[in-house]
Amino acid sequence: MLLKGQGQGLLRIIANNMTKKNFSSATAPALEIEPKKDVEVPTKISRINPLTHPDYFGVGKMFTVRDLMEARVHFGHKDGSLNDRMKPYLFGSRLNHTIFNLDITAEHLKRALNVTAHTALQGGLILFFCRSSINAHTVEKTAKECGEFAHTRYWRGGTFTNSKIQFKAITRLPDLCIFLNTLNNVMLQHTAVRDAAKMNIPSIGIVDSNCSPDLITYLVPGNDDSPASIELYCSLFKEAILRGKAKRKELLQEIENMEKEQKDS
Amino acid sequence: MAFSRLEKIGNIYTRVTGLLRAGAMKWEDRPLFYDIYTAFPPIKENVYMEEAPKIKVREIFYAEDQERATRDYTNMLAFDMNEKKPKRFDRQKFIDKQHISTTKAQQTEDIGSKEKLFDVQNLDLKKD
Repeated sequence: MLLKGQGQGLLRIIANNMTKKNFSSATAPALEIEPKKDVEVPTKISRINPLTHPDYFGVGKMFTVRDLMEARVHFGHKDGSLNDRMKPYLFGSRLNHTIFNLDITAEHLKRALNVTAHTALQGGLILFFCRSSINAHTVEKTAKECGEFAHTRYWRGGTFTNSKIQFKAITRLPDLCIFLNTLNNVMLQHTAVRDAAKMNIPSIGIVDSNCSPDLITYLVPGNDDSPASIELYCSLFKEAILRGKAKRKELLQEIENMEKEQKDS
Repeated sequence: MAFSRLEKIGNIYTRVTGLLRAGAMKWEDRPLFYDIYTAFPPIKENVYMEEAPKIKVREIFYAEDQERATRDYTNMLAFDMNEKKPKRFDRQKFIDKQHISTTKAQQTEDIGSKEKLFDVQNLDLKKD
């Protein structure tokens, strides 16, 4: 179902050499990929496994809480449409309008951006979703600019689950789904959220106060309706993906040079 | 290659870990997200249809809301339609000045009477 992309094998070699695969025992896998704190990125990037660095791509410095506030990320919907499972992410409600806690949002957004950048580094295919007609064009443009994919139209049922028959060939499914809007245009959860969970594809979702946080791997609580906030998210995800891809290019170049040196010596 | 489609039973990570442990999936064939998820798991693990936590959503109110609710603003300008540039509303200026004077009073602990706090005559609304 998932075809391996070119170069993914090379990065896996590096990762495999540094992680222990220990499934012989019945206990949980002992994978030594715990990120260490206060690790500087060395000049020769192939020396460390990027996953051990807490913030390899400097994602934490890409935005501030003030940026989120100015993009109106803290505005949720009204109290009546509040999904009970979104309560922990709220700061409170101001005259029945729910307000998100931007410190919590910032933390979640950093995690989501980090995951996006690492996925891009490993050569993953990223698919953006946005079913809001005002913001659909922004999302499509973003996807184009970072060389990834977007699906902002009607979602046909079996696109993930029945891809072999609908596309009439074995299809490479995305390695990450980013939902700028988890609801579809009839205010129900987007089918692709459930389908991505079915097909073992991690999903990042901007979850508003009226949305369900079910089945989304990395959620980012925040406003998903204002064009200002969608533009901010799009620019951040685009930046993360471009950084990941740039590092990938560097890394592959280094590996090539190392192999050349080995051949010469 | 085996994959589990049971999205309600566990999240993607637990399902793939199960397959790897059981030997249904080889380590070399693991999906792309597996290492990334191990290193950077979500801040809160995703559990399908988990019970909502019993938290009360706090209502956001400020000290000046008491003033906003009780004071009579009939003679105070809310919005000047003639102005081209949006100027600070007289009502908001009043609240800001009052807020400043109350916080100052609280700092000096010289609150005195309520009339002193809300001393309307001495406030200069045109000053900005």
